[in-house]
Amino acid sequence: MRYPKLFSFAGALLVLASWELVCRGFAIPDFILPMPTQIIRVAILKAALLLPHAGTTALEVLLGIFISLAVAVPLSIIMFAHPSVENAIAPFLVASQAVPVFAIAPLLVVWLGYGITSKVLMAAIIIFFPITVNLLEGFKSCDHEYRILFQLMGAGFWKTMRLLFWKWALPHFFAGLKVGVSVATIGAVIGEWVGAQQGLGYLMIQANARLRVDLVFAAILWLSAMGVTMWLFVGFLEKRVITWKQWT
Amino acid sequence: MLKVSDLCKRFGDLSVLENFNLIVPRKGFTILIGPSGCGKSTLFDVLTGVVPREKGDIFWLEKKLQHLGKNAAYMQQKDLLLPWLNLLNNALLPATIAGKDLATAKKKAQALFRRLGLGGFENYLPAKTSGGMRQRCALVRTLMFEHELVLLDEPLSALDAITRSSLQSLLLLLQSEFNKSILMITHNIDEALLLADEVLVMSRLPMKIIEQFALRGPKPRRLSDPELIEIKEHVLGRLQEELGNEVS
Amino acid sequence: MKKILLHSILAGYLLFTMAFSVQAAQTFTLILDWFPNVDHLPIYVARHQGYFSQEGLEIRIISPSETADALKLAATGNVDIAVSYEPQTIIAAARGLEIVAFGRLIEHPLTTLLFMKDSGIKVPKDLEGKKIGYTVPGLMDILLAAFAKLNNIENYTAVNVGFSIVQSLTAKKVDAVMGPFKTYETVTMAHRGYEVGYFELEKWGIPDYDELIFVTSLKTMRKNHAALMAFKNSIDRAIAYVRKNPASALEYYFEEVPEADRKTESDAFKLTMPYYARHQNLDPQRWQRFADFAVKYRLIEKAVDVKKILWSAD
Repeated sequence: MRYPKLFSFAGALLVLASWELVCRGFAIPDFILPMPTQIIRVAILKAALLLPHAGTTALEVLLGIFISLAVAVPLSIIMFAHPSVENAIAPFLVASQAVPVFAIAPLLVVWLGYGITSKVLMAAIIIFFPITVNLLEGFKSCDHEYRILFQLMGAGFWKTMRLLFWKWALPHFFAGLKVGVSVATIGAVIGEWVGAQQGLGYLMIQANARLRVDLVFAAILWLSAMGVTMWLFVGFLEKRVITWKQWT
Repeated sequence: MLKVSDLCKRFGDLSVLENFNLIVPRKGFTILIGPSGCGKSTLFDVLTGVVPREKGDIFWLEKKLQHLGKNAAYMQQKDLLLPWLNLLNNALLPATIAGKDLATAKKKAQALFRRLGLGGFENYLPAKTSGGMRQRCALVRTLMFEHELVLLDEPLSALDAITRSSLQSLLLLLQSEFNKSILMITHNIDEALLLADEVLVMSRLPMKIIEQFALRGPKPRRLSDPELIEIKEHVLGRLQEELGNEVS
Repeated sequence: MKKILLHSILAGYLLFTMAFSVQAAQTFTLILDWFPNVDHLPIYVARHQGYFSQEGLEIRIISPSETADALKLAATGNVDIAVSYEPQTIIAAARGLEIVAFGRLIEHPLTTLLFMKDSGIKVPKDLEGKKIGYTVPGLMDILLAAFAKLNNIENYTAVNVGFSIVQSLTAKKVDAVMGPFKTYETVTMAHRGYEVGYFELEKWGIPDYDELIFVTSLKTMRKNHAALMAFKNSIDRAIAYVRKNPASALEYYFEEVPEADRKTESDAFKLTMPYYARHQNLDPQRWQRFADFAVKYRLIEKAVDVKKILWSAD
């Protein structure tokens, strides 16, 4: 594989080209399957419409991430400090991941209404598990010998947490954050599907009802772009924070 | 001096130490040598308080202690440098944890760095340095402790022969210069003969001292010295006996 | 890194509080029955022309994610006002929901049983054994059952299609749909080159009724009845304006609802014009007639006294 990037780019182009040809060749109505060219055109021309909705969804995701971090980080630390707490909470943690998020969504909307609160909570719930588990594993992955070194140097648990465990767990933390950031958008959008006044998920439903399926796909395009941007941003942060790793 | 009496340590059914006694004179180099798995590292773990013991007393300078954790400096085969700190900050770790004045500690560390041939490498990250440099940095960290008693668990075993040789000379220099009382474990008989004032040969489990040699020759020594050759033959013989007992 | 962290936390906190900032003036949330379309034009005109603000009201308009959400949310008090249908209101009241109707938008039925011309359906009996979709569960499936009873259709399969009327018909997932409006979906289909036929409910046995009305929960009405009456009056003014100035009314609508398709909605508007409610009085006799019909044909279990549903005070 000489030029892997070129290959994948060519592959994507091939898929898009076939899609376009099939749509044109079989004269498929645009509310069943729109052509890629139409989708891209709408994604660009309707930017003024898409932007505020994208902003709302992005806000929901970011707030969800903040809230999740605010709970997940202290919780992981406490679970690491007290294994009895970890044992007590572990089943709930797994449950939070196992419960299909679209089952909770209608309940949240009934309790919290059509505003952004329910979506923020959806996003927060969906990323809570990856962040907590990864951070906890990160702490646990610290070599026992380093722990003893700190013990012998007279460092108590919290000092060791600050100087050793936290730094050690950072790569794991960012891995969890990267996963979280990609799935947080799913949580927000599902929340919007069930009841919202703004956002890309809301726009998708309204557009679909109006038979503007090209707009639906355009919204999906913008959502993907949002997810990718967030992923890249976390990667950027990761490189800035983890200064000691050799990045290939 | 360090006095250890009637130390008992058991792991389940396995008795590692049974009424173990040891005396380490001050300001000298005492070396423990024995077959692998004979419990030398366990002895250190018990002495530093990393693992609890069933029975026995530990005395340092006539005072009975629970363990040596706060009274001895401890260095292992693994350098255990924190990958995110540069060499200088790694050496300053004990001072950082103890909350001591970092300005004075820094001066001391920098002096030691120059002494150990690490001058100019203070800002390097461990990943960018060689194994020998890292072990020297660990040595600096160990010397940053103000303790007279230093426990070394095979500190040079991971190094190549040439680096090992240069660090051996360094250890000699430092022991005399800083007036340390050193208790060291090694596998390497040559190393023991070059460095020790006293060589203690260990049995296999349960560990006991089966032979003791005082080496009075002036240091630095040559391996070609007839006295050393004689002692080496004897020690080898004893060790083979120990291993032989296992087979029969 | 610490600085970035601190600033991020502060920014997050600010965003959070902004999202929950309290607004002044009496705000009411109004949920539509469907995505915004020309049936709701008077509401948007009232907002555009300031009729609401002149009464000291701020109306927040939201659209439902599911077709049956509007009435539910009003009944539970999650929203203040809902656009609903007379039949749906009566059915809900029969089930014990405490809702009241207090205003009208569309004063005659628009609901049809819609099908593709090429399906060969000519009379209701042709629907025998077919798959028929419905848009609003709890309403349109029940009206479908009534229609079937009145027209001797014994066997059919009912399918919930939600908002996807056009897709389900053109993809032949269903043979017909109960719920499309003769003023709207007929236009949408025509614009896409599809020929459709339809049965108007009131022509095939269903009594005359108000297609679109305003409802709220009894609790909300008791707390805010002055404001809700003011809302009703604003709608009345708006409809009068629409009748007098249809062209500008349409333009104002497009300003308020930029995502609306001009071509479709302009044509739909022409068809909808005659149906906007001429006055806001809900006729108890007419309503009772429908309620009695509902009991007779087992749309509802027990009889309903419409005086309990219609808010008459002023």
